[in-house]
Amino acid sequence: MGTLCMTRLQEERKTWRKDHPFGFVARPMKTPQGALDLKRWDCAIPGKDKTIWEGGLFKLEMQFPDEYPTKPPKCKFTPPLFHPNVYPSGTVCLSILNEEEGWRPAITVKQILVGIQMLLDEVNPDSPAQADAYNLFKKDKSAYEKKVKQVVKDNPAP
Amino acid sequence: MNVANTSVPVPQSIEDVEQLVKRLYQPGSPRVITQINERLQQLQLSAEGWQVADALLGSSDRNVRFFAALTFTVKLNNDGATLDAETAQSVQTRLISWLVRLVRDGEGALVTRKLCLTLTTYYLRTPTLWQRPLLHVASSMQNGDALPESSVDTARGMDVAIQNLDVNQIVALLWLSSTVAVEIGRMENNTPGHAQLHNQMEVIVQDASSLMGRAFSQSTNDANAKVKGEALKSFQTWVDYAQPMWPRKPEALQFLRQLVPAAAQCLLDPTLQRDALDSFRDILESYTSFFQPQDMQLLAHLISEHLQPVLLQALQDKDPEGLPYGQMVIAYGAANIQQVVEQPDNAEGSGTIIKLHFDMLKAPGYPGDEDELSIQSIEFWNTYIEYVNDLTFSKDSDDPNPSWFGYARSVLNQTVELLWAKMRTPTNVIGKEWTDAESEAFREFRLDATDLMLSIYVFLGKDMLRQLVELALHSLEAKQWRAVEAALFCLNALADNVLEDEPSEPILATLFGSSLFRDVANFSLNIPSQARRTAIDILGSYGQYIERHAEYLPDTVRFLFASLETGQLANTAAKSIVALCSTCRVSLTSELDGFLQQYQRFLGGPTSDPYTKEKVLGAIAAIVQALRPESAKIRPLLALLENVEKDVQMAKDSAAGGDAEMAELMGVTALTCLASIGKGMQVPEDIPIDIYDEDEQQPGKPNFWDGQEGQAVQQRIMGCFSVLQVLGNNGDAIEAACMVLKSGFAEVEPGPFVLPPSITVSFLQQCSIGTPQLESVLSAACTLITQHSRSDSKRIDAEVDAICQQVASFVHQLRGPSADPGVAQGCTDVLCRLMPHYAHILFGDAAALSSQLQPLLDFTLQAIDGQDPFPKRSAQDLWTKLIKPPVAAMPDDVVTRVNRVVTAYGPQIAQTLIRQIGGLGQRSELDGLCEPLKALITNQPAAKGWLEAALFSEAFPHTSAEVGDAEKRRFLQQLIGLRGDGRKTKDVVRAFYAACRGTVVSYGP
Repeated sequence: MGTLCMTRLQEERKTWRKDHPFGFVARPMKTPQGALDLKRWDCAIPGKDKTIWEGGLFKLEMQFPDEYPTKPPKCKFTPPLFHPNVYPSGTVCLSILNEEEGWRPAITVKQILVGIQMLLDEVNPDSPAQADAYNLFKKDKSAYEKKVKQVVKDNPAP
Repeated sequence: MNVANTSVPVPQSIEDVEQLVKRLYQPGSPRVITQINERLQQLQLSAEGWQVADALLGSSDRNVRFFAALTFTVKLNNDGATLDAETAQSVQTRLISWLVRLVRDGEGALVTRKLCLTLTTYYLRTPTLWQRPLLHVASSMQNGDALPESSVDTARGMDVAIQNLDVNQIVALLWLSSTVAVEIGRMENNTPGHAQLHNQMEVIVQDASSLMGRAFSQSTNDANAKVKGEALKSFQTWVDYAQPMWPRKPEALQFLRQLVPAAAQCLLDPTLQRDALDSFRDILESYTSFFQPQDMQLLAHLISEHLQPVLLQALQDKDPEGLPYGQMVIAYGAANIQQVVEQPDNAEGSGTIIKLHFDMLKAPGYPGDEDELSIQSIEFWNTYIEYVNDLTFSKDSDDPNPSWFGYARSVLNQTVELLWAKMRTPTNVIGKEWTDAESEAFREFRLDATDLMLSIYVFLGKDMLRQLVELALHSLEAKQWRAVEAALFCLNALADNVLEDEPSEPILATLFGSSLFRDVANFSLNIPSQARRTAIDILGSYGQYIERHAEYLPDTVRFLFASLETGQLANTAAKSIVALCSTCRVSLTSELDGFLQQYQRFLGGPTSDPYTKEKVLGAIAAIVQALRPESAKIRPLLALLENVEKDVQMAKDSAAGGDAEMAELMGVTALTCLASIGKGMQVPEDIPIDIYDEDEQQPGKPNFWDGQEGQAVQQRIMGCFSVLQVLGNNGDAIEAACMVLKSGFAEVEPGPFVLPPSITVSFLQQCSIGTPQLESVLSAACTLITQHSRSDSKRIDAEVDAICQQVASFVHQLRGPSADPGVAQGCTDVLCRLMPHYAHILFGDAAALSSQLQPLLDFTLQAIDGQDPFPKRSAQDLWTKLIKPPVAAMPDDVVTRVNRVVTAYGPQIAQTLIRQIGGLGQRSELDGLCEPLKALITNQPAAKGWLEAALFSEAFPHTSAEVGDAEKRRFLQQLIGLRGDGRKTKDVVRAFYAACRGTVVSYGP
């Protein structure tokens, strides 16, 4: 395991603790022995105010590869989220999380989570990841919004 | 704007310029001001700029002198690098001379600071290195006018130069010192010239240090307070400069470090204290290693002796003036964490710091409201516990615990208790007064505090659990509900970790065995609703525990049902009811009648809505599912169905009465609830089938649900679908109906929701391509086919044939996949599911659909060639399956037919794939496209020819000039050479695609 990776993650943890946007959660999980596992984080993203996602809180797992920050972490909604840019497995499809597209080592955990929060309401129709949400989004916006509101109700912010 | 045509004339003399500058600072029309500004800017850029600036510095008007200094700065920024040595020298002399004279004559801060910036710009921009700017200016001040640089006596040094300077002169020098540190700090260190300027800072710091030392050593009085204040600012800017620049220059750093004792005295000066606190806190937070052990000791002493009493008083008085004192303690604690943790006996460095952190949490006031410090102190505790945890997990488990272990445990126990006390929600009276920002800050504090508690739990383990449970129980006994709530809130946050630890069970038993859930279930007691909500959350987060302890179930679930009738709690309660009833169904069967009654009462109340109804019906259905024997399920299931039937009837009545909106609402609710009941009735996956069950299907013995009584129930279920007739084309209703169908598909044994496959088929047959949510119906059809493709399931040829007929009809009507990508995908998915067990329906000699085969396959090729990602993926899957050898045996005639089809379509499929890879597809689609491509190469000997033809065909996209015949040939060779190797084929395809798209310079070998 690279020291660069670990130093950076420690730094990310510290920065996050000192300053994080309201309603977001991000904390490393525990290893079976009880120590912090900096390479796997439990996160939660609140739906943005004044959008159909408002009032929801969506759990997400962030996994950092050994090559982080050269390579981006993998972000996965648990359980998978109804959203055009989220794969059926829950993995988020977002350019800044793609090594070959928008990822840069300077991108912070906070920027990633805020980026995903923005993606919730600002669907990217050019890279659909699941058919259910994508088809409904393209075909019937009001049915799509109704479904999202249901999802929010099932995942309310505390 | 054309300046020549404006009303502002070109100034002809210095007086003219002066007048213009004065007008610039007077009120006037914005248009004229803009014109004046442009005139003056022209002047600043002109060759005469230097002389004008020099003359204007003699003006009696402050604004004019400021403008003059600004003009010098502009000139230096623009032309400084090209000045010859002589001109540079004279500019330097003029600037120093002005500064010396103006300061002597009592110039104010505005102009003096600007001149300091001008001198700094001179240092930065002129090619000749200015060796000792501070000493040079100081010596000139002492001299009364500018000295030539060569006459500066470097041997006598700064101390002597500033010996006789007055307060104003010292302050001006401090401003210059600060400006130099700030401006040079902003400059990157990436050219030899810049490096030289940075290196010189190691010399200049000596003069700056002498200057600040002199300022700090002044006796305390008002005039000197100003000097010291400026010295403090200068000190901080130099430390800020040093942090990135001098990590390996302890010699240079020493000139700043030696000032710490003197600077720290400012912490005691009432007029300077605030600024000093800010400066020291800033350095502690951002540059901890700047302070050396003796400095840290000194700071600890000052905190303990001088800051502590002020802080304690402020905390007691809820005085916001205490904030910077507390912040200083927090910053110090975090910076000194090693000593704080490992040397608890050190009274000032550790003991006082811990005590003050406790005091901050003990102080009155709600976090986010009157109490700002508790929120900030969490950062200290996070640093503390992470340090402790790091040491704990880095030591070998055989090593003895360090001596401070026990003390750290007791410190953290106290912290937990203090945090708990701070987390209590305010009374309604107080809470109502809060602004949004205050409520948000309080909630944030609770979240941050629980986050911290999770880290503390790692160290304290079940002791902490016991502590929190005891706090909850004591508060419960005292009926202090807000205290109970805070403890439950903490326990919620720890749930995942607690549940991993077996030894926690007896501790949890004292909580769940207490009167807690009976008390909260008693809605005649006056309990804050937040306490009930958190109690509901506890049932969610400790569900796994309750599952293992059926004895607590009745109390808890009764509480949840009772909560359904309270508006704010209904949704959360409904969700917890589903979770508990579904996992603990077997233990709850004896409560069933009571729950049904409670449900009826809830239905009559104002809190029942489609959402809660759906959840609770599904929950009760899960308990029904656990009843034995099967016949016992009839009565309660019918009771549930009656609720659905009532909604169905109401929908029909509303439709008849012309109220379409109500009809839709009730109809959709009915079907959604029915689907929820169906889901509840599913046999849970993790429950093994009891082979001794008396109901167990024995060969030859008819299943209960195939009997008369069972069939009657099934008829009632199917009867509910009749509501679709009055709903017209409602997508939600159709989706819900599909959910009902799907709930039976997964079942292995017959059951009330295991409906005949013909129901699904006829449902599909009633759809057209305009039916909303047709995707759901197609998806249900897919699931049906999959369920009947398992080795042990019954084949349903006739039904699948009928499904395919309908799909063929949809495809015909669509006239192309892009007309409705969702439906196109659904249709393609159905075709995909036919392989291999139902392949004969499409490919058999006797297939009724054989005439439809070509249009269907053409449609899927169009999908691959199209823009829509999902039909494309499905079609790729289909063709991959067709090209690859079947995974299960198929009849000979089918195998032959499939092979003939693939051979016939080979050139076309190759062309379609190559067009996509040649640049028409999306990059993210390449991996999917590789699958049929690999299948072709591996299984079809003619593939090379097909691909070659495709590459050189007219249909190949003309995307990049870089890809010519040679590149195409190389690509083909590589592809064939790899023989379908997964990863390498993908790499080769990606590289070729990139070349075709022109995103790489050339297509290299």
